[in-house]
Amino acid sequence: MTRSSFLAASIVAAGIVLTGGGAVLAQDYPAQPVNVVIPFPPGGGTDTIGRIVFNKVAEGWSEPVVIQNQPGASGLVGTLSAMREAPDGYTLIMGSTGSILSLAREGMGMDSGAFQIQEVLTPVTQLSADPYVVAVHPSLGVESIEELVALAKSDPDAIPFGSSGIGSASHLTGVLFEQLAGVELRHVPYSGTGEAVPALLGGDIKLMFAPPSSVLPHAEDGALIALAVTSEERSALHPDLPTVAEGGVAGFSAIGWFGLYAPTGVEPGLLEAINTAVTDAMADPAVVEALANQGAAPAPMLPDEYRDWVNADVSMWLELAAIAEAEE
Amino acid sequence: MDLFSIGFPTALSLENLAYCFAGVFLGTFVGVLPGIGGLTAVALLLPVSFYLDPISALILLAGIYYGAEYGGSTASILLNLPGTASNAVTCIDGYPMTRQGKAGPALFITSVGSFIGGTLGIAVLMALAPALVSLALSFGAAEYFAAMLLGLIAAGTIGRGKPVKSVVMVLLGVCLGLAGIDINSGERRFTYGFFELFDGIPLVVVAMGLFGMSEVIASVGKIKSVTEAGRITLRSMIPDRKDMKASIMPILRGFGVGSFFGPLPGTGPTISAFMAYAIEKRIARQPERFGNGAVEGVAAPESANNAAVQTSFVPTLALGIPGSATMAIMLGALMIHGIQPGPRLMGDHPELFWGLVASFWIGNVLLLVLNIPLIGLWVKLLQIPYRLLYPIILCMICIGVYSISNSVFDVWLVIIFGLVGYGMKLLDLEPAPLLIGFILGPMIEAQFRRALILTGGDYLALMQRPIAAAFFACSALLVGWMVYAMFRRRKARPVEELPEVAEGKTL
Repeated sequence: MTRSSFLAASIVAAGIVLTGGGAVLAQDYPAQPVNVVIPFPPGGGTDTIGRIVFNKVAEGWSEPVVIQNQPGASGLVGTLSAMREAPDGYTLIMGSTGSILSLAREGMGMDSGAFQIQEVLTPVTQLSADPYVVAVHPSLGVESIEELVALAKSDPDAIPFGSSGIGSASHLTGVLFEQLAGVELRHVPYSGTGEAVPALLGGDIKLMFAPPSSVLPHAEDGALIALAVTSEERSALHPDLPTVAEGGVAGFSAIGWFGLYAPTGVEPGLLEAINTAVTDAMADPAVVEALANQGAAPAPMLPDEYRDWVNADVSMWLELAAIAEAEE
Repeated sequence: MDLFSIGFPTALSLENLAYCFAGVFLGTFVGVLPGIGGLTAVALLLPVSFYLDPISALILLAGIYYGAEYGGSTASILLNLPGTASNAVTCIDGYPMTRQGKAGPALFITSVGSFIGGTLGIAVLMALAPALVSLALSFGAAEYFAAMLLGLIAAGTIGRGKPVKSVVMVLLGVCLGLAGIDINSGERRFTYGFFELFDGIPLVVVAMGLFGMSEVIASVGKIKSVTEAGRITLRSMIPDRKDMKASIMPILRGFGVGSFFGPLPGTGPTISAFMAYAIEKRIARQPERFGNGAVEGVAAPESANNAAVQTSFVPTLALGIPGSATMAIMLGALMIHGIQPGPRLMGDHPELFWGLVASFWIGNVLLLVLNIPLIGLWVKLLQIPYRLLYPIILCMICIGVYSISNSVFDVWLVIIFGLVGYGMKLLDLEPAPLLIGFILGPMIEAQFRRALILTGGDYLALMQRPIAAAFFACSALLVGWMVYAMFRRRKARPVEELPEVAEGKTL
């Protein structure tokens, strides 16, 4: 953002405060800078995807987009503070599987017993939903999911698999694998993917369900072996990698999604306007390419569609988390 | 050689030269200002990198990162206020030097030390990157645990007072470090219902509170000013032969320490600076000089933290693994441009790698110029009358802390730590051992438990890994030597206590 646009933004913001805001009309939107809260640190997956998309979105808007990183507590800190802002479309919140799952685990959106995202956030759209990659250290001596399952069965609780933390998607994907393949692995939690990947490269841990961009470059280099993707169907970005289900673990599907949210109570017309702006931006070839470099494929959804999907998927993760907790 | 055929032509283009200068200048600036460090500046400039070439963006952001390590020592030496967390240890001897009228030589030696540490660090980065990568990867949980344990034993007594006070401070630091979600069990410890404490207390908050904010509070009502250091002229900066001679080896050792810790993900300039200081104090003939303006005490840590920032690019560039939050932002800047960091970066984008390395050389020369002939500029910044400067510094610390995660909670925390730090000053307890316990304690715990999960609870297996075993042996030797030295001292001087050194205390 340039200084003059920042100055302009500040003046407009001051003006809005002075005039007291008022109902936002979809056709006037945005009439002031739009804050996008990213509850993770700059440089991470959520941040990079958010910046790529909103850099494009901002081009179509007369007002600038202000990216605000508020990291902490797996996304809870930023999400909780942004949730309390007015539902006027000027505060948007980026979220990942991890940050929404954290909300649910704090009991938020659980009033009815099952997770209902709409109780706490307005889902706007999904940005992308991508598989993790099952990556192993070459010293494990397996080159397919079948071999991995066979090895794990012959030697229970012996294969150390790393995750980016207790209850993280990379941990729970491993739990799902244990459940469906009927094996037992040894979980070793790390603090973040950045700490776990070097341990995998060094051979301290032998297996990881990792974001593609963090392990595939090393697989191309021969330092790791990528066995499969965790999605139900093969990923268009890595068509040569089989799915875990193809490797004999029937019904296996785990994907990590990135999405956009707003505080609850956004007026439907406005919600549609934001959804359209973001969806259009994601159709831009440059954005598609930049996302592909991140291992992400654009997967926009309508707000209702996205709400149902999030609710169903979070429920699945919560079940796995309960299983993982019982195992501890 | 690629450095000359690809690197320098890229880095010397007018545009990239300008970004390099802008980076190191801005880095020095935020480094000099207490509270605001490289991380804040790099995060703020990340959006700008959208509009730059990837190489220009990287040169700019990297310049800020290593530039801040140069600037950070200035306020440590002149005001007893560390510019960044990794310069905290420089206060211990830098400020006493100022009080003895040796501010000029102290600034000179830290700049030269930074330059030597930095440039040798770059040489290591170029020549030994593949070796350092395999060293870094051979560091598993057991090795980290063993190395950090040695570090804690070595650095536990870096304070200048009684050893027992240091040990208590280290333990307090370890306890503070326990706050947050326990990595191994997912349990919350000492979070008192605050989500903001889930990830633990940020290092910058502790460092800036205990060293920075407490110093500002302590100086209220006291008349002191940088002018007491005398005018800093180029002539007054040239150290005498004795100081010069005394700093050469510490600078080289500091470089060694920095280039060992730099490439290890998770460690970095702050640990390097503390370790370099601890080593100097351990091997000194008269360790009691430390804390009273020992020139080795400024030379070694400043060389170490600069060597560490340069070599910390090894895992970032060679593996695409960020060793720190700042490095993660730089990788983010690359990814936004569609460049995939990883083992192939060097081969696929040689202009990026070699251009950046060439810019490091250029940047370090620029920094030497900025910090020796032009030091007056930065000193002027700190010569604003105190009644104005100190409130400004308080604001800077708050802004700097706030900007790390845009969290008001952290601002409250830094104020609390400022008050605690002031109380510690009154009780004559030192913050340096606390900080080292705070940094190393949680790492030791997490790595130890992780190592045991990996070995299935077999303690002996930890000792069977050669690198870890070597570190354990060093730890054992060090403890043995400490006990032996203690008994010998007792025998030699049965009644006499160690001379408590009153001079150089800031209060």
